[in-house]
Amino acid sequence: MVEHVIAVEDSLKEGARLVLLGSQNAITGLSQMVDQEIEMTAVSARQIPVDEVPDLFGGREQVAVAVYLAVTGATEGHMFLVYPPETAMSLVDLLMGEEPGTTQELTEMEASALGEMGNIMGSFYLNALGDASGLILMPSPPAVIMDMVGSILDVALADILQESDDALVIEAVFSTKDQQINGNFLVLPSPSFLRELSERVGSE
Amino acid sequence: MTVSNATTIMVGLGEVKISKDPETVLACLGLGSCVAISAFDATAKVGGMAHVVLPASHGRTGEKASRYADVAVPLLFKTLRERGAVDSRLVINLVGGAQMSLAAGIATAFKIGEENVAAVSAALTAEGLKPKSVELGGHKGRTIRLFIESGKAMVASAGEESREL
Repeated sequence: MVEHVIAVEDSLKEGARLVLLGSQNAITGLSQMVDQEIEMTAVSARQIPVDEVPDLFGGREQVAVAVYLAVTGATEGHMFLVYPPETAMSLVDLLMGEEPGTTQELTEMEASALGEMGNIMGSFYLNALGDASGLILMPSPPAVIMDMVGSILDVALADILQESDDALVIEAVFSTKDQQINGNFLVLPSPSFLRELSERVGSE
Repeated sequence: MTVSNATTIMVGLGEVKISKDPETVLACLGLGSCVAISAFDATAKVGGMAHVVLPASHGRTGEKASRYADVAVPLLFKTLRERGAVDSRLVINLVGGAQMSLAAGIATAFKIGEENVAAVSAALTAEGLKPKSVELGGHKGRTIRLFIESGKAMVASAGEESREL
């Protein structure tokens, strides 16, 4: 069962709904990529103070693996997949069709697999948003980063702080059928982008 | 080091904090494009830290304006002076302003670290101050801790031992 939570201000609701749809499509993309059924178990859209976003990943100093894609086209934005190193390695097993527990380190090959996952999920996400809104949105090539959570997110958080004290966090939680992996897909759309999405959809 | 007794005071995004309590440590964790300014006066036994997120306030004021370099730097030193610090005794460290290492073609979106470094440096010069040491730029995130008891400033990156600045 998928739990939906939408706790955002009214002017952003339509945009948030679209972003949720996009996140669902991203998980469909992952499912197709690995040719396995992947379920979305929960999805939420919440507004939280920007300073608290790193806490979702264990705090600013926690080391994590992230796939980053910049959004270009009709708007500019940031997309991240952020995982604890253990989860990232489980995902590599899933992506490469290996037995769980096979991947023990992240070299260039593993990073490249994660980058491709980000590419697929990012493209599926943006396609869904683009189809619904008529906006042309494209992902940049993926970058895979292993560093402290705070430093991974700083640029995106700084961007949001230029517009708002709160960040809209859209999180979709997914797991494989056999529950070997639990992961999430998280996006931090800027308030102006969400407003644009809301207006686009509202005017149709 | 008697780290165990000390209380860590987190200096969050856009905050400026001052401490005279030797049992405390001021800390900015996981700095990426953000820049931390750490300052300590060993005679007045007062330390301060600012966590700068963006370069320019463009005239914005209020409590949250300290997220901008041109507001945070003057505020940090004004408050330190009010608490007894003297400019000539201040030991200043700058840390952060990194740029994520990214795929070719998207690096331009990440000038913010560089801009923060330039803005903090300019604001410091305007105060007539110079840093003792800087750990700026590069591609790695950093954490800085300032121990008020000793005045030691320690910097660390993921998977590395922390080093004194």
